[in-house]
Amino acid sequence: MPLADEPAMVLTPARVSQPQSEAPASVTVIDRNLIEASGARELYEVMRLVPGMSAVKVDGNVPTVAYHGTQARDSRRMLVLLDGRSQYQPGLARVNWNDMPVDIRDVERIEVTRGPAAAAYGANAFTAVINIITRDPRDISKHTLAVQGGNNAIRDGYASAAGRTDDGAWRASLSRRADDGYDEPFEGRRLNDAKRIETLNGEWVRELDSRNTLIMQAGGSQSRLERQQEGGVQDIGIYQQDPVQDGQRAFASLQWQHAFNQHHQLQITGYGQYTRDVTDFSVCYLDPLTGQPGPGGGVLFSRELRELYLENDRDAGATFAAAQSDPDFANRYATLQSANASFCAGSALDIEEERYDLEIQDTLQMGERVRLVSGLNLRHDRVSSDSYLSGTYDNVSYRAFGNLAVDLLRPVTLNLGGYWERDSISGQHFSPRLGLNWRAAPGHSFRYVFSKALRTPDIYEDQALTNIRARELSPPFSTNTDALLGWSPAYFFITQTSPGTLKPERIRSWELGYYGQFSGLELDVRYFQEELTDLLSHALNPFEFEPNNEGEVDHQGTEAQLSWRPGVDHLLRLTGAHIHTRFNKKTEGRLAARDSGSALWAWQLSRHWGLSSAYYLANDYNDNVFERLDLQVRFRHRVGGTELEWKGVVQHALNKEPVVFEENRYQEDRMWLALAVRI
Amino acid sequence: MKRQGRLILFFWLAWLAPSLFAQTPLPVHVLAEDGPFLDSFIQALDDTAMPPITRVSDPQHAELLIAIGDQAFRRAQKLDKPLLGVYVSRSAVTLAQRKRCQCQGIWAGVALNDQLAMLELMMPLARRVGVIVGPQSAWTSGMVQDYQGRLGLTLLPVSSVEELGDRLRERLAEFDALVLPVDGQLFGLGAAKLVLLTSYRLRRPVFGPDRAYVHAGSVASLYASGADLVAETLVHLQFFHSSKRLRRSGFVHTPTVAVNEHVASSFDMVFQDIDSLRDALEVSP
Repeated sequence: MPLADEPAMVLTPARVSQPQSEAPASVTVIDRNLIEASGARELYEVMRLVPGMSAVKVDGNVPTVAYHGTQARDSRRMLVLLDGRSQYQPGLARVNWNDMPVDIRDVERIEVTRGPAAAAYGANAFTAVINIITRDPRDISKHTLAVQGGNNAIRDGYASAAGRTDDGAWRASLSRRADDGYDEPFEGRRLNDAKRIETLNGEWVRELDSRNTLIMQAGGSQSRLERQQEGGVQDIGIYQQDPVQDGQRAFASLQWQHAFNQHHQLQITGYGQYTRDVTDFSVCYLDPLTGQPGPGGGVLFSRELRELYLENDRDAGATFAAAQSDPDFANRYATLQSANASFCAGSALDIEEERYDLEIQDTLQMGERVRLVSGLNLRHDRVSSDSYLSGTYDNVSYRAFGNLAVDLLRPVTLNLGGYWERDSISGQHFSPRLGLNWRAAPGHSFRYVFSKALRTPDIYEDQALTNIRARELSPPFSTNTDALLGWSPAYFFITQTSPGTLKPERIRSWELGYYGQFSGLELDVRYFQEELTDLLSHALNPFEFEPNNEGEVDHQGTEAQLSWRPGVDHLLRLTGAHIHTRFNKKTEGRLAARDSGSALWAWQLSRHWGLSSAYYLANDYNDNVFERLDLQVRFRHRVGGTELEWKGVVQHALNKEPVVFEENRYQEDRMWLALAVRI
Repeated sequence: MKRQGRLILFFWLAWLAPSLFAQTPLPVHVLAEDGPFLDSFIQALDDTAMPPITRVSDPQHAELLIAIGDQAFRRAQKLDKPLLGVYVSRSAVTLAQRKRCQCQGIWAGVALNDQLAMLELMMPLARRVGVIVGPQSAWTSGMVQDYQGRLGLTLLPVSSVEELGDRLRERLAEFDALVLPVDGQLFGLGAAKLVLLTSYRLRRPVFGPDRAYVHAGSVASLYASGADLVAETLVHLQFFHSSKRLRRSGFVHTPTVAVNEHVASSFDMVFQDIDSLRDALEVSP
């Protein structure tokens, strides 16, 4: 069998197909059976089954998924791959779980490498790597149609088709999911956090001959996310239209796998990704002197206030203090009064990101004891944004990597890995890893892993030049902008500029781990220490902007995951993490739970009936304990050649505490019914 | 397990030896398609001292016919003599017995329980096992349903190679492992690629029917080697020699183990090399 066709228990940690007992990392594998047993509606939710992983909706409908969580809103310290394509977006250093162009039903398995893996994947594989692998079309034999609906306006649909050709197979899926977010009303008003997302995902595999395979993938998504009002904007205005984020994604990839012989394989992958997000909102601004809506609100978008702001070292407080004695500002304020109407303006936070990535990977088995994976990567990121960057910026990176697995002695495997990269923003870096696995007895192995990794500043962190433009002005400001505001187009007076000198964030980690197989029971335990330095811990948004590398975090703790099949029809899966986190900036501790865990029990009652239940705990997120119990009942039967699955799911919060932040209330059970038809 | 089997065989032969030496050689005639296996089989029979046999070229002069393979077995039935089939399909023997032939057989393949015992040793985590069975398979649906061990077996009836692919795609992900019986029609080497590649993609190991499958990429197999068949044939010959009756049909009692060490390692099997697995099988109940 060529290497490409070999079985692989885990692929992710070192890019080498290798058994879990020899991998230079702790790995959590979540396969399709486990995903189905969890009852999860959305992909990010199954990440709660990973020890040490935080997976919660922090900002209304926007999930944050973070391994050894630190900051609540930013999931920028972990790499997420979808069929090998990086979902880490270069513009704002984020992974957008909502808009990922894949449905949970398309996923075959998820491998989570717990611990830094920059030695295999480069910068930004900082705390962990999540590798999402979709179903191979060659393994699908049925078309599927599924609908589900429940309270909180849950309305989901899914359709997929698959087929085979003489030399390959294809699949395509289309999905839609929608809900109303957290509980309402919050403090007497509607919470703006509903969402609607559509995804398209397709793959075509063509086996050219016994040595050559082509894999083509394409897809995209579009989303409409209601976003919550910004506190900074609420201080200076009254929202006329709540923020709404419209997003579009598209991707296409092509992979060629060539087997030279049984021991040598080449893989060339190229892909392009496009992302566009625009958040529109409309605000009537308060007159800074009266605190009431009025024409004086226009000074916030006046040329004079912008100049004062720049003269006062971008300090808003000092700007307003200086404005009181500034004659130009006084004139502008007087001019605005003549408008005799409230100043209202619409604005848009826009960002467009493109990525083109070409990678060559060579896998070579040298004898029975040595396996080497090496490769080269060329990547071009381009980000355009009027509001965040005031222009377009490019980042081109060149990379080379190698991972070597050597069976030193029969029970001892040495893994050495390194990743060198050079990019336009951060210069050149090298991320190493050393792993030593000792198979002490059949089915029992110990490992030691040491690694270093970094997260390079994203284009926004490096090149920020924020400018929030006043669009769709209310009359008479719309028709007489230049005269009333002093410039046209008019911009919000606050503008932020990155110094361009930020350093990469760094992590240094080591772990001792054990992996064992007993009768019906699988256990993985690890003790770890992680030092995170040079962290960008402060807010970097158009309203708050403190760019520095002063943040530091230390993690030290223990994690365990256990799968137990006491009988054929039962599965019990437990995970737990106990982590001591020390940090010097408060923002870095919001998502750092001291104790967290999950328990999942799945019971196949009969050929038709299945029951599963899951319990999740995180103690705590931002002083709030997250505790939830899920229950799922499934009934499967056949009508002729058609398979039908009926499903009911209830998610029940076990306490009344909010999820991370006060507005994220989850007191009413979520429940939905689903029907899937497979033809 | 194999060593135990050999010990039993040794004591069985030792117990019978005195009476055998006192008896005249048993005239047998061997029928088979020409080939290297026939030559080595005959050579092994000729070399054995127990029981004393005389190989005769004319089947009419033989007291017992030995037919290797289904074709020879069917041909030998027409000679209307006591007949022992070697490496014959269970269905061929059953069919012949329905026609009241004086015959028994050493079935192709190994006992389901033996194959599953090895699977349990290599994969202590496994609980759900799929077993594909066709009309001509060495194992019957009844054998699968009668299994009383710790594993949960799911019978996957398949009637053709065309149906095999769909069945694998639909069901394989439900199992921890897949076990295949000997079935010349269903699991030829053409189907091996389909089975193995599907199993690799879905990360489900296959315990194949024979050494050829292991060589192709199945994780391991207990199979009836030529030596195993010769040893089992001798047991049947002893029985016939002493009792003038044919011993009941069955699988070989001391099968051989084959492991694809690379695949076993990739799947993180507890035992990954043939020596440690053989040792473990010998001490297993």
